[in-house]
Amino acid sequence: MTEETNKIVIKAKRPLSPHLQVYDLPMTAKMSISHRITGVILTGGLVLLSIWVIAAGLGENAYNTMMSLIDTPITRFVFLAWAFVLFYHMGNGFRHMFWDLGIGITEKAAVKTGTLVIIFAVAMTALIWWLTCDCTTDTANIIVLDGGVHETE
Amino acid sequence: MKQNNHSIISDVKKVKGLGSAHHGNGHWMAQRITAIASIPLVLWAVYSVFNLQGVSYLEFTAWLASPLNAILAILFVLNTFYHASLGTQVIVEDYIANFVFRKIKLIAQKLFFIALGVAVIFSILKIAFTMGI
Ligand code: HEM
Repeated sequence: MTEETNKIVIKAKRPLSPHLQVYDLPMTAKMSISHRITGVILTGGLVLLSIWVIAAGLGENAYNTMMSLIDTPITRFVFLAWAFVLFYHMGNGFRHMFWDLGIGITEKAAVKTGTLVIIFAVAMTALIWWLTCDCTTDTANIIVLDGGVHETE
Repeated sequence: MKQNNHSIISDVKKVKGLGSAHHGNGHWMAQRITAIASIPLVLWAVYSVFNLQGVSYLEFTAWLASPLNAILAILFVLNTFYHASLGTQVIVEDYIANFVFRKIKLIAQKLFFIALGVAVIFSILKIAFTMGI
């Protein structure tokens, strides 16, 4: 056998594992690829935000059309999902930069900080929703005002 | 080892981080600098986006015309677009093996980010200068 055919035989017999379609990736590997996926999703989000601002620059009609598209119950949920993806990417970005400094590069630490990143993303999304949801002081004010109106009538 | 004596790239230049990616570590550093700069900008942007959902044209433009918001918005666009451009560049370099396709995709997306970024910044300035009091 020539060296060339030898190489082909070896190549054909080479195992394919971990084969991505059947192999259940460990948590750290899932988080690794999701940093990339969230980066791409966020880039898409950036384009949407850009269209919002450009529409406002074009004038009231363009703005109103855009707002009627992005202010529905479903898109409100999409915005919440966007915030989660952003905070996940941010938390994971911190993790990347600590690794660059040589901090936390053991498997045990990576699992621990990975869990922290997910907790951070959920907590920050909840916080931003709570801060902006009009469901705390504003609603209370409306109820008070409403009560006031009824009393004077 | 075979030496390539025809290369115009000096050995020093080769050693200074011109590896398989054909560029040095400047890209890597810029990705991190934009990441750190984006922490306050992104927090401000998420909070603002959630507050601005469903507001009227006049409310939105009055908000964006305030100097602080206009300046932060422009900084957010410059920083985040640069970060996203660098990030998606690496992804293309990793996944598109064909040299010609890769170069075309890289140039196209760079031009896309520049065009979109300029359009957004122009819109911000237009609103700031015409709707501001
Ligand atoms: C809308 C905002 C953002 C967008 C569109 C975005 C997009 C991206 C993209 C596309 C990548 C490349 C992923 C890869 O190479 O696999 C990336 C990487 C990165 N991002 Fe972001 N990002 C955003 C916000 C942030 C924030 C707030 C941080 C803060 C910590 C951050 C930290 C990083 C880091 C450290 C990397 C490099 C990771 C590596 O070397 O593999 N990003 N980003």
